[in-house]
Amino acid sequence: MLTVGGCGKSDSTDNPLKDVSAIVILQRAPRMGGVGDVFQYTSYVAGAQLTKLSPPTADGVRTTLCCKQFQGFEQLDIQSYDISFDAKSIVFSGKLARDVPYGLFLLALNDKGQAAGPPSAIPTDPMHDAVYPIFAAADRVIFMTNEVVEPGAKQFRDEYERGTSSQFGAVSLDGTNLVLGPRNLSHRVSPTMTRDGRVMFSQWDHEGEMNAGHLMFVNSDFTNLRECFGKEGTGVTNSYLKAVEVEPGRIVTIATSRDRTFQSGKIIDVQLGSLVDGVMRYGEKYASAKDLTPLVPGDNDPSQSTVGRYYDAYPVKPAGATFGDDLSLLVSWADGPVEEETLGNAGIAPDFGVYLYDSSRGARLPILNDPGTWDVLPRPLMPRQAPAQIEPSPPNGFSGESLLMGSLDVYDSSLNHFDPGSIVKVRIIEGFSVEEGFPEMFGLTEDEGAALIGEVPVLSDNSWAALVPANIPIRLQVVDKYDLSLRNEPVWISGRKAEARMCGGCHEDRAKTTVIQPGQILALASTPVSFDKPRALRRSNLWTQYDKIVGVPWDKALQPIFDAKCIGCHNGMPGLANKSVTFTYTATGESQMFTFNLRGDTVSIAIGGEMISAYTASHLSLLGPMALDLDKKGITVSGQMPIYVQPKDARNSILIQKINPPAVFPTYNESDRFMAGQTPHPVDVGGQALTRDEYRLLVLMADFGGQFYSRENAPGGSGY
Amino acid sequence: MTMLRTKTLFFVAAFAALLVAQDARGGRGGSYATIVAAIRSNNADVIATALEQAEKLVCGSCVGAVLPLLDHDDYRVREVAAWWIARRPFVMAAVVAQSIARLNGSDSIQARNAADALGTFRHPNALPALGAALDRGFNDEANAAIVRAVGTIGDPSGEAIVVRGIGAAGAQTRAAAAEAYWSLRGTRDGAPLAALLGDGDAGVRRSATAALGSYAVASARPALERLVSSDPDPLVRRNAAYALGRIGDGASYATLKACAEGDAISYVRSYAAAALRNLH
Repeated sequence: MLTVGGCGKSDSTDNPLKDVSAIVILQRAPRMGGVGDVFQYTSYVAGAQLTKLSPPTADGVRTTLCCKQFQGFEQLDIQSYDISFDAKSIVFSGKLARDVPYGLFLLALNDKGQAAGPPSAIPTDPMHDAVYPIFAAADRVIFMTNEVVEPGAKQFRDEYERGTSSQFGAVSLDGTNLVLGPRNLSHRVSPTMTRDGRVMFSQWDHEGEMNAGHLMFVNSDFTNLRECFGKEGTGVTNSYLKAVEVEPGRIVTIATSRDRTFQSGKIIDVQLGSLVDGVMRYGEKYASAKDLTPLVPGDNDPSQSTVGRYYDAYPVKPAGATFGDDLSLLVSWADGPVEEETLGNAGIAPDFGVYLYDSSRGARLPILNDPGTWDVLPRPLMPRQAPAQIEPSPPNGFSGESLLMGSLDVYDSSLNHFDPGSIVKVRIIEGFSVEEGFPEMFGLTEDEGAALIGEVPVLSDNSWAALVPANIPIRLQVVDKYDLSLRNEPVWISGRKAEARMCGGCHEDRAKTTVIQPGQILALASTPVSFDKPRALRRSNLWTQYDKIVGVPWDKALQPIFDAKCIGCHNGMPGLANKSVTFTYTATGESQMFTFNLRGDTVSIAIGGEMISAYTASHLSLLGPMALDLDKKGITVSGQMPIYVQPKDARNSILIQKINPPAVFPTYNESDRFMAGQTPHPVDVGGQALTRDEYRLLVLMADFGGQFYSRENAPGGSGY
Repeated sequence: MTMLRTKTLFFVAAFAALLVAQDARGGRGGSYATIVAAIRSNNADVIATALEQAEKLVCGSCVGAVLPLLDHDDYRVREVAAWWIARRPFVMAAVVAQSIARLNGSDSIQARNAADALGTFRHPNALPALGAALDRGFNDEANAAIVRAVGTIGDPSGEAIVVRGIGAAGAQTRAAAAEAYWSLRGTRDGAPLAALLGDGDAGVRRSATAALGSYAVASARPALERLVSSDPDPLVRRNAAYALGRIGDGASYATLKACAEGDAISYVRSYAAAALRNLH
């Protein structure tokens, strides 16, 4: 143990811990594995324990609460824990051996704050991990799990980190009434209760080029998912995790890079709202953050000696006092670079210890630091205010199985201005990942698998609603009369069975309250259209029928169009119809020319000794290589070849502008074109006109994200 | 022919490395230098970080550096190396060919590594080669990797291979088969897993009992009750109790009640008590 003499003794009248008789600390074995990404949760090294320190000073008395003294827990690792609101029990996530998942355990404490006996298990499925447990109202525990709410489905697998995604679960203390939450396409971690009864947590928003961890709110019944902090320009780093409420509307959280920082970083003090015209308004755009540790890198650069990084922070104050502008925090901190690559090359792990941090002076007072362990998640062992119990969200009134989605007014948006009358429908797109039998990528873009759930007309009062499959990730697009997306929602959303996710608008001002009265909007005047059908049916083999398209399999749906109507000219022969570019690898001077080509042959470009693509010439021509940021990779590009398809943005894609789709609303009208006055291609060069089905396929391909693979041509798609 | 292809692949990569032994900074910060430094550290996490950063790095010399990682001792390194290679389809195609050749060979370590690569690539076209390799006399570790790869690919048509793994001689393979069976997409009845409940290896029984919890195989009830009552491994007893709760047959009442009240391990008692509540 690091001996620190009298430091941290609780004899000062302004000591924020003077009313705290004991704290609990999680001591884990140091590790280099499985913590390189802030969302990873399965790392395991045997030897963890929960330690009580009383009083919470460097000279306090230690007591092992759990679990090396109990039979069956010899190889235990503990991922996270929480103290009950009455401080009489602890719930923790423990892994009993290397080859079994993390499970939930409940440790009862006696009147002396010691273990009353060995922990009991809160039974969960032994094939799935259960991590990040927290106490909730009504004797419930909320946690994160890779168990799947959708029967028969495989849990999503993040395509980058390759881990099975973790999602919400809740269970009673006796293991009954398990509820699994709706699914995001990537992980959700680090839940924490707020006093209003909601759960704040970190969500991996991984959609196309978006790849960051933001804070979100959800009710304790996993309905009413809302943004909290990190987007809309108010964030200060890529990811936020281990948030804790200081007081209503104010949190502290660890702010850091998504990877390489041992899940540690800065501490920021976040106000979730601000005064606007004398009114307190909450929402991401009104949030602000104060950096309490400004010297700590916000990215994944190695930190400086004595600066280090913080693993977690928990606000403390004397009883009866208020939190001021400056916070006192129980923190876990490690000195040095706390960066994976630097430490990994040296073969040493960071050494997290527990400190009392005074944010006004930037000073750390040591409390406990065992060099042989990570001493993390210090928490006062004392009663705290229980959260309010939020009533379960009322059912949507139309379906007990489906999620009701809709908006009062699609034009009400804090992100975009939409011209009146420009939005004719809302497109609902399902997301999925490689767990459905795909290779590691869906094509040359960053976008995940996509399937059209349905399109809902916007009614005369600008409202819309639809019943859609519950529990799956969905993104929305508002679409104009040419079938083109006007705006793509850049994150995945999801909801539970029977939930109503009715929004005010299309990403409306989050400070607004959305209350929908019966009969208020046309979209709910009668039962909304239902697009809810089983996963196995959310695919189509009829991509030649305008209204039957679900996925857009490039080789099956698009290539026949190119073969029939395009390759007569766009055949890879350099010329006016086929622009060429030359790629030169700066380091060696080697070069290769690539010429536009819409044939279905498998082609490649060899640059810098490396082949790229292996998709078809048409896919490579329309979505790469110009979209691959080759200039950032030591490749010099000479010649002119534009990016023909902008993923998720058909209207700004050259391909779509060239083919110039006709209006399809209110009726199909070839005399009303997206690019007014411009003859559509290939008719402009004497070619054969595209059909309505063909326009539809090309537009959906671009608005989906330009994927090559869909469920309809999945190499492993023989069954689900 | 296969040997020639393999040698050619590595020769091309090595030649590229000689040509371009300098930084090629990637869009995400990856570079040849960081990859090489990570490999030199021989730390699985550092290697994983470096390769993840270099996901889209165009860097021929990097290919030469990464390919040998497919034969690293640590599965995590082999997996991330294969993931990185999967982003380079033509390199992947060469590795697929090499891996299939290795599965047709006689070296168990090479077969293990080949199976791991093919599993990471997740293409069902590899299933015939994996299935055939299971009969080739490789050691237990290699066969376990083969079965694991089938589970990772997840294609339902791999079920027959997995079921053969359940009957394999090696304990690692049987345990991997239990998990792979559960990993396959689609629905199935779980009945083949029951054959593993009497297995002499505790790890196999752990895997089998855990997987069986997902299927509620009524015919497995007597064997599960025996395990709850007398298996020396507490995790087997725990998993078996959970599986009995999923079956929900009231005939398990006495067994589960005795376990809930008398098992030496607290978490086993908890699972048995929870299972009692699920009995009809």
